[in-house]
Amino acid sequence: MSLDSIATRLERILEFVSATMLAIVVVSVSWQIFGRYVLGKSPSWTEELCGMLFAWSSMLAAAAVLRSGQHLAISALLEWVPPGVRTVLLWIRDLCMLAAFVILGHASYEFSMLNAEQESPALEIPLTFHYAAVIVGSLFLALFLIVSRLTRKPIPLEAFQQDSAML
Amino acid sequence: MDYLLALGLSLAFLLLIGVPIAFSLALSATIGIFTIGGIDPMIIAQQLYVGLNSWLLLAIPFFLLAGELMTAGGMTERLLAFCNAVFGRFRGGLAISNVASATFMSGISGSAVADTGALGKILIPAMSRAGYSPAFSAALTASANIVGPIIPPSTVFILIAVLTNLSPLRLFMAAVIPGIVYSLIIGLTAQYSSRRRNYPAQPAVGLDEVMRTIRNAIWPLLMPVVLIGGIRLGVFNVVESSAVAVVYALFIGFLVYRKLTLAAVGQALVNTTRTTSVIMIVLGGAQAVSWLLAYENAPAMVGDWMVSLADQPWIFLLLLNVFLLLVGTFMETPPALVILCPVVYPVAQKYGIDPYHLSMIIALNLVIGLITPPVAICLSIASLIAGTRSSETMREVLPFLAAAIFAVLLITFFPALSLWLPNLIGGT
Repeated sequence: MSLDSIATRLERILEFVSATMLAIVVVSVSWQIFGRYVLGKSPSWTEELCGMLFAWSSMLAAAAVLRSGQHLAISALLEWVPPGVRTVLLWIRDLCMLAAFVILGHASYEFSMLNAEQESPALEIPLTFHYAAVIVGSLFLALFLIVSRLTRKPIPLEAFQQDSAML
Repeated sequence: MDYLLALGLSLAFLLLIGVPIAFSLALSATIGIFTIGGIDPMIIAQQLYVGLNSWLLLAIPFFLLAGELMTAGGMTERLLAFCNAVFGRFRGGLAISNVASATFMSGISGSAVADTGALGKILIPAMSRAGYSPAFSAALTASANIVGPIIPPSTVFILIAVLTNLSPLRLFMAAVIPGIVYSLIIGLTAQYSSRRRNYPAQPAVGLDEVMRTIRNAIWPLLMPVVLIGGIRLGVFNVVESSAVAVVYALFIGFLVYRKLTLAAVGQALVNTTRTTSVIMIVLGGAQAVSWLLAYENAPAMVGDWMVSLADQPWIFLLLLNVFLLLVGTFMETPPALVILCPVVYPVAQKYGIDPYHLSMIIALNLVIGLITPPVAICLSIASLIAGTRSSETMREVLPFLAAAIFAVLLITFFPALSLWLPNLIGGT
């Protein structure tokens, strides 16, 4: 299997996981309403669980859509310059992105270590589980960025996809 | 001030070379922090997580998901049949039905781009067959559907509520009349053009046929009433109402219309996570920048500078409109909101402008960017469906664009259009 198709498969898996997390969030919030009116009490864990899953879901899906160029970006200058200049600018772009992922990953690693001893209020799990979303997300983002260069398929300027701009 | 310069210059550079907006924000915030010195860069990670982990923001994927499910569940055709039974009989009937169904759709989906696609696929071919020019049909469909993010439930106002701590319910209430005013103005423009070009009317249908289409479309038509009513009466909060919308859409799609499949639900979930993640990550990055701005009290400085430049509120509002139209043309609504909100709201406060009124002005200006050449996403999608060249569609959109700007000016200079309904029904 080529590197490209392995990465594509990994993206589908990440999307599946984050879609499942979103489904769990929908069920939890519905359960919260049901609990309040039918069981007479709201479960205490729903808000924290939903916030955590939503952060995880967002970071994983953000990594999964990186290679197809679905992140919001401004492409006007890159489209305007001659192809040779564009190639150089795209390399600078990718190096800047890599720097961003390294900084984010490192900063959130430090931050989660700082909070490793603390437990979350409702679920009573280490806060690391919360902050790890950003660490894992940054790792995947960096991974997919490197794959895009190894497979010589730089991330396109802005994929014209309906679902990248649904608002 | 050095750090503002470093932040601004690095942000501009990163954006121009095509670094995605989210990562540009995070990286330039880091550069700003190093310029100030003495702050642990760990704060970037913390702020990013704060931006991601927000209870209220959950309403965004839920409303998007509900809209996708309603469309997959066969609601678009039914709404359209109802609008056509009522409005089809007039000159330019299909054009008016187009605007009316876009208005009703916006009470369900709230996504301009998705609505343009969903309604355009049916309406643009139908209008072309009836003798409308395809470019006119495309321009009208795009112009009518940008009301999607305005009329509640609306993801744009959820974002504004998160960014500014305003009440989401009051924002929803405030948006009802501006949304309808916008649709009316676009509808009148479409009717005027149809008259001049002698576009056809549909045959009139009887009252029993109108009643039949109402019965068919009653579920989607009732949805916004159930949601807003439920929030107003305190049955559920805004996030819960968005979950109710998903359950409601599943209920109709599976049990009433019986058109929804499990595969379609799966696809809707994946589409929603894609769209949401892209917005969420921008919010995370923006949270870091706005923390930095607030840390050094930058919005107040910009405010003082602005007041010294334009001392009358109406001059400020006019400048704001021009500025926002420009921003909306080149930037999508969510990143534009996250970058502008932390600065614009404190400045407008200095002029004594009501924040809810301001929110309407901001939202409307930014969504008009979806039909403003040269970028115009909604226009491109409609052209794609119509099979017209985008230059033709852009020519046809000009009268609608003028009408849209007229609507913005009305809403800007008559605050009562935004504030009357929330003041009447309350909700704080």
